[in-house]
Formats: sequence, C-alpha cells, structure tokens
Amino acid sequence: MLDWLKKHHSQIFLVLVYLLTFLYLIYPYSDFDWGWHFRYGEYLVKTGKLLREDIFSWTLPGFAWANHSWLYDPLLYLLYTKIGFSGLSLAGALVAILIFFIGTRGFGLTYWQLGMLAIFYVKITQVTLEEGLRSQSLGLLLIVILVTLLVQSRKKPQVLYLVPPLFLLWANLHGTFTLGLFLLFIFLVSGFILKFAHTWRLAAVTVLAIGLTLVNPFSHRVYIEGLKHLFNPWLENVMEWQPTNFTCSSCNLPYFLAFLGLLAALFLARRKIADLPYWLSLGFLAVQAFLHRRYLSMFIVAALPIASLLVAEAKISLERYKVTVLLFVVISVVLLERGCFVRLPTYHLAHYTFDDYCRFSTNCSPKLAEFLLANPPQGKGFNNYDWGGFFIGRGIQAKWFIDGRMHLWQKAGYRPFADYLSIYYEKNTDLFNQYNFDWVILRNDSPLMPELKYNSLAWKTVFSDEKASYFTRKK
Amino acid sequence: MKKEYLLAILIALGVLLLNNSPLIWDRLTLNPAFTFLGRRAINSQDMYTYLSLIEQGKQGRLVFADLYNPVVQTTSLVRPAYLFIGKFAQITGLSTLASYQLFRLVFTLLFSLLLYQFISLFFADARKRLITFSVVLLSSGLGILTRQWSIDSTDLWIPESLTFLALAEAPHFILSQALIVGGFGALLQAFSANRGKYLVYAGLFFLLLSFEHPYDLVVMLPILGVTYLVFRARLKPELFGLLLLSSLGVLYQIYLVKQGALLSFYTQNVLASPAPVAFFSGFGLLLPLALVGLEKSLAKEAPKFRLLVIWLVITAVFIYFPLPFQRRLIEGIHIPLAILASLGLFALLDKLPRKMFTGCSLFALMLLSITNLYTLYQDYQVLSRETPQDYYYHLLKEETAAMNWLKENTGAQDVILANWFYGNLLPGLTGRAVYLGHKIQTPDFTKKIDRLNQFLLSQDPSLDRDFLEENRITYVFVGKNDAMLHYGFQPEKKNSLTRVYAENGVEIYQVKILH
Repeated sequence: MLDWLKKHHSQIFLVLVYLLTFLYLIYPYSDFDWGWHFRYGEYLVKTGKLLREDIFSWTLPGFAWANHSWLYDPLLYLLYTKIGFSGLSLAGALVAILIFFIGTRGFGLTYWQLGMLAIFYVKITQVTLEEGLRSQSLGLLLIVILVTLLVQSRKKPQVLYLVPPLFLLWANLHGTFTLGLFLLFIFLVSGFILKFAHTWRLAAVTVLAIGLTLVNPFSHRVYIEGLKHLFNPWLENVMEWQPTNFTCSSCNLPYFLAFLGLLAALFLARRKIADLPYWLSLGFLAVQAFLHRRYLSMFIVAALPIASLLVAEAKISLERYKVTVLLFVVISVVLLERGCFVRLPTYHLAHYTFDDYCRFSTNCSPKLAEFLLANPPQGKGFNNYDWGGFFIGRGIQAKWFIDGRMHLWQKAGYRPFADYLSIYYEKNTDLFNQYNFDWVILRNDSPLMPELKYNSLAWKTVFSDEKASYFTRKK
Repeated sequence: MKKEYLLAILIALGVLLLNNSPLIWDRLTLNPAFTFLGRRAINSQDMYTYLSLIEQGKQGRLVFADLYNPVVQTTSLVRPAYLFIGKFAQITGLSTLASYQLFRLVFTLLFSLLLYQFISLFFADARKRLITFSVVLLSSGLGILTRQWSIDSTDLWIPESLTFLALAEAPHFILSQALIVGGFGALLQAFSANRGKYLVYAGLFFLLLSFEHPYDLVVMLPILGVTYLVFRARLKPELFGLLLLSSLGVLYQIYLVKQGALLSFYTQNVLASPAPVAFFSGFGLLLPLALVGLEKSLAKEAPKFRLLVIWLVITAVFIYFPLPFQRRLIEGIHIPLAILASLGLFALLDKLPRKMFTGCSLFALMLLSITNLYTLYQDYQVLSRETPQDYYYHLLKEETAAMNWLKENTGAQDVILANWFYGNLLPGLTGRAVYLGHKIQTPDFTKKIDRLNQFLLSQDPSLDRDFLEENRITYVFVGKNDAMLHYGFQPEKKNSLTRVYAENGVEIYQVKILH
C-alpha cells in the first residue's frame, strides 16, 4: 500500500488539487440578476417564444433589448426549478472547476505547479464566481476553451476547426464573444507579423467565426449591445465595472499583482518572440482588469493555458525536495479542514432559503417580498436597482422603476438609470417630486430614507423590517 | 561565567526591557490624574480577569470563582500560577498589579532559560544558539506591510502566534510557553536517549500546562504520540504514565464543563482561526527560511529536528480543526518555526566568512523583527493618546479611591453593577463579583447589556427590584463621566438605591432590598 502510494503520489496529489479547488469554488448562490434571468427563462420554456420586449418595468415598457445571454436563461430556469439555489451554487462550482481543468490539463504540470495556479485561479476569479452560476461563468468557460485551442493549435492546427462552432454557441450565450473575437484577432495579426504556420487557416476560421456570430435571435444587435459596454461612462456606477483596488476585498489585488509578477518573470525568462500573441492578449486583459474588476476573471481564465504552458516549460522541479511533499500534504489537509469545517457550514447549502440568498447577495428583504406578493404595489413606484431583479424573480405582480438589466437602457434621451442615480445617491428631491411616485421601496440605510420616513403628511409606511421599508403616497 | 551564557542573559534582559518598554514609559510619564493599570493594546479586556484571580488568592482563596459570572458561583477553578502569585502577594503585601507584573518578568526569564536549553539540543555552535535564541524571541511576520491590504496578519493581534507577543501577555501565557518548551525539551531527551526519567519531567510540565492552558494539550498529546512513533522509543509504561499525568488538567476541565461552571464560557469563547493568508503574513519571512530548514531537517543526519517538524505539522493541521477555540491551538507554533527558520538561515549563510555570517544573521534578525517594533509603537500610541476626559488604559485616581472603598466595605458575597469598562476592572481591583465585565467570561453578555439598559431607564420600582434581586446585585458603581449617566441613568431617583459614597464625582449606591 505504502509503495503504491509512493509510486502514485504525484497523480493522487493532482486529483487532490482539483478536488480542493472545487471545494473552494463553491459559493453561496447570490447572483444579483437571478430574478430576471429566471423569468426570461420561464417565459421561453413555457411559451416557446423569446422575450424581446420589456414587460417588467413601467419606465421603459416594451423596450426592445438584445438579451445577449438569452440561451443561458432557460438553462438557469430549468436548473433552479429542479435543484434550487444550492444546485446553482454547485453548478457554478462545476463550471468553474471545468474551466480550471480545461485551462491546465495536457500541459504536464506537476502537483505543486497545479496547486500554485489553483490558488491564483480561485482568488482572482472570486469577484465574479462568488455569486455561483452566472451567465458570465459560461462566458469564462468559452474564453478558456478558445485560448486553449489557440495555444494548442501551434502543435495541432486542426483544433482550429472547433473555433467557428464555439463562436456560434458563444454569441447566443454571452456577450463576451466580442472579447473572444478580439483575442482571435490578436493571434491572427501576430501570426501574420511573425509568419506563423497555419495563419491563413486561422484567418479563414476567424472569418467563419465572425459570420456565425450573426446566427442569433438578435443578429448584429448583439454587437451593438457589446459596443455600448465598451464606451459607456454610466458603467462606473455598476459595482463590477469599477476599478480593481485595495478597497475591493473580493478582488484579491495582492494575488493579481503576484500572478502578474509570476507571468512577467516567466515571459522574461523565455524571451521568445513567438510569445507575442500571449503578451498582447494578456497585457490587454490585465489593463482592462485594473480598469474594471469584472475583467479579473477573464484575465486569469485566458491566462490559465498560457501560464500552464510557461510554468511547465520553465522546468523548475521543486518535487525533488522532500519538503515539497510535506508542505503540499500539510497545506492540503489544512485547506480541506478549512473548506469543510469553516467555509461550507456558513453557506447553509443544505437548506438555502431566500433569507440566505438575500443575506449573501443584495441584502434584500424576503419578508418585504412576501408582503408584496400578497399586496402588490399599485401604480408607478420607485425601487432599488439591486432589488428589482429579486422582485421580478419572486413573481410580484407589479411594474418596477429599474432592475439589473437596465443600466444602459435609453429611449429618446430618457434614461431611468440616470434618474435613479440622481434620486437615490444625490437625493435629487426635485426630480423625485416630478415623478410623483405612488409608492417607494428603499433600503433602510438609503440616503433617501429620512425624506419619506419623517414626512408622514405625504407618505405612509406600509411595511418595514430591519432591511427595507415600503411607503405609499397618502391620497 | 561563560561568555555565551552572559550574552544569552543580556539578550533575554534586552528583550524583556524592549517588550515592556511601553509600560515602563507609561508608568514613568503617567498623568497625575491617572492610576496606572498596566494594560496594553492587545487583549486589554482580559488582563483584569487574571488580576481577579490573583486578588482572590491574596484574599485567602485556594480555588477561584469567576467573578464575571455572579449567578453561578462555582468557586472551584484551579489555577496554580495565579494561586502562587496571589499567595506571594498575600505574604509580601505587594499589590496585585505589582505581583502580576513581577511574575510576568520572572516567567519571561524562566521561559528564556528553558528556551535556551531547548535550543542547545539542536545546535552545537554557541554563535548559532545565540542567533536562534534571538530569532525565537524577536521575530515576527509581515503585518507591518500587509495591514493596509485588509489582511488580519496574525503577528499584529494573536499573542499565541508569536513569542514576542506572548511575552507581553499575562503571566500564565508566558508560563505556558515555558512549560511547552520545557515539556518538549524533556521529551526529546527522553526519546533520543531512551531515558524514562525525562518523561517524568515532561509529564510534570504538561500536567501544569493542562491547568494553565488546557487547550494546548489538544495539540501536545498528538505530538507526543507521533514523536514516540518516529523515535521508536522503548518507553511504553513511562509514556502511559506521562499521558495520564498530562491529562489530569484536561479531565478536570471536562468535569467543570459537565458541572455547568464553564459551559457558558466555552460556548461564548469562540475563537475562530483567521484565513490562511493571515497566517502566511503573520509568519512572513520565517516561512521561506523554515522551508529551507525543514528540507535540512528531513535529512537523515538530523533526527532531533524531527520533533520540530512534528510539532509544526501537527499544530498546522489543528489550525482549522472543528473546535470553538481553534485559534488557541497555535500556541507555541512560533518556537519550532523560528528554530527551523534559523536552521534555514544558517544553511544559506554557512559558506560566508565568520564576520559576514554574523552580520548577515543580525541583518536578517532585524528584518524579521520589524513588525514587533510596530506593535510596540501601537502601544505607545494608544497609551499616549489618553486624557482625563477620554481614557481606557488608565483609571482616574478618584475612581480608584472609590474602588478601594468598595474593597474595604463590601464582602465576598457582594455583586457590583457598573458599566462594562468599570465592570471589567472591578474584580481585579477589588476581588468582588460584577454583573457584567467581560464579553466571554460574563455569560449572555449581550443580553445582559440589554437588561442593564432597560434597568437604567426604567421607572418601575418593581421591575428594578426584580432585576437587582435576580442578579444578586448589592452595589452600583457610577464613575466620573460614566457612560450610564450619559445614557440617562438617574441613580438618585431609584427607590431601590441608597447613595453610600460620593467623592469627586464618583458615586456608589447600595441596593436597599437585600436577599
């Protein structure tokens, strides 16, 4: 037995790394956008039709929106109805470990190399993956497949034929396909500059891929939707579009910096001009990751196959030291203990309720949702941006001021998100009064709260708990 | 005296002086309005719980009560170190605080002695012994750098994780470090030379440890077992004797929990270990150096170092063991880590000329110690910020006088109600029980705060009476600028209270309805 363990310890350790990584990729489900994804999916499954116009808001009813993740919605609906929030947590972890597996397999990494990459992967993706399964998770999966194919195509050019079908799927699953095309373009241009073999094949594949991205229910409008995200100043008001800095605890900036340092050292040690597409694509993504924290995950996912290649080819054999085995075993046991006894029990995965969802996501109020289900708000009202999706998901029969889909929506110069920011954060009472709302739902810590709470002549508190308050205008 | 021992003594005294310099400075520059309390930034809430034990010993008790839990009075806590210090104070007439501080110094010197003996088991070269000794006493992690990244670096707040921080703690903390080192030193002698008498010594060290810091046995006993297996010692009967001896204190603790005396303490005393990154930061540069040392020690020619490896590995495994007091289990881990780091440092520097070797070692020591200097600076900061209007680490002289009045005019059965700040100090300064005063040792602390707040504003005499009777409260202490007064408490308007002391803005009320 001992001999068998000694002989196979490397393989056992590799499996252990994947298991531990999976353990640390399980997060409590808390996607802020769960609700509207769920209802879009429900609509598609139940009617067989795509929901193209808005039916949930009163501010922009009928707004035609190119829902670039339309194919994800029925998947979420089916998963949620079958396995609930806990299932979505596990599904998120499964997709995340699949990304890691695809990005690292086939490079001949030793257990400590894989373990090192796993730590960076878990930490740097946290800001995106800590909400469980999201449409972005699927986008990340397709990014890692693309970059792995591009890296492997140097030895096996025929894998490039998988790129067009990949983009056909991608353009229907998530808007990050435009980023994928950009990465493809970098590899193509580098190929022509450096005169790589099979560059013409890559060019043909790229053209075909671009053509196939138009095969989606919204055709070219998914590109317009993507472009809107590229140059929009309003995005800075959305958390995941904010810069990466030390105030963002889930961004794990020290890990990001350390990983950049590692990559830089590995690139410098190689000094190969053939690495040009790797430098360019990772350099671009690293800059984006500093500017917008949502790119952190895209950066590390795209970097996984490249880093695996660089680490494996660096030929540093720490495994010959006895202390490496000892250290690996100790760290694994410690992480296993922490994962099983500290992390998982706090997530309540066995009995995950709306209370847990609200606690881990937007601090919404499940009690208020219950109240609104029984007493739907009448007329036109005002609500939190973060809570709109939750109310839609809970099936409350009302039209909302705003929700997580609408940060870039505008029609004839009218942009509800801009008004929301002005009212909610800048306490623009003139604008608030112009709307003449019938009802208002607020977080208790909202800056607007005193305006309503202490204005008993105009507003009546219909519901209040420790998280939220619901006011209706006195007639 | 050999030059080596003289240097070792000087290093120990230097560390002692450095470690206690904030307190010495505070005592020397004390504002005349203040009484010196001897508290520091880390674990400031706990210090007077230990003083309460010394005070009880001084007042004649042999076993102690938890004076922060007035309802369930067990009077059955066995704390040999505090009993000894209490009796010392009783015989010499030294104040409780002076005895506390004196024994911190005595135990630090005892620890230094045992530590030097322990280190001598690993290094034949006197120069390496002295450097290792300094590394154990002074090294810290990278907390000074990582604190700005929201990392709870353990070297900034967990005294169990660092020798230097532990030496700034209460006497039993320092004593337990000494007992751990003494126990393992004896154990190593026993197993490496197959000599049973050393196991008896180890047993005695661990027996005392089981009363002073019973948590430690959770880790120490597995280390003992694995060490026995690794050294293939032929000392079975002696080993079982040692295990039995070591377990007595733990069995006693289990008995207390079963009796209900410590149940609430253990229920509330949840000390979860921080994230792994906090430990990595907390041990900082010691870790890579220790890795080099570990590789060396795993070589066949260094069997004695295996005890350090076992100690380190088993403690690490227990860091996240599902026990409520898991953070406590790392006590002492810094010692094997620092010794292995020294071994690693020597492996890196061994080929240098003698002077360069010493110079580089001292430079490394300086780098390793920086965070400790920062924690000292923190102490200076918090102590120097105090004013007679806003204070926590000191007490106004008039408040001390009122507490002395309480000590002289009340009996052991009395229970005092005060706000949390005074409640924390009263048992240590008077030896009397309080309604509340410590977040862990006072059962249902948060609920008690709520109940107290209700009482302070209540205008219903029957509710007041119920509250006071239920909690056996006999006196109410109201300090100068007391938070209870700011909250709206008007003691003079309570029918159930009679003012029995009023000097310089400090008041004491006696409860009229006695039990």
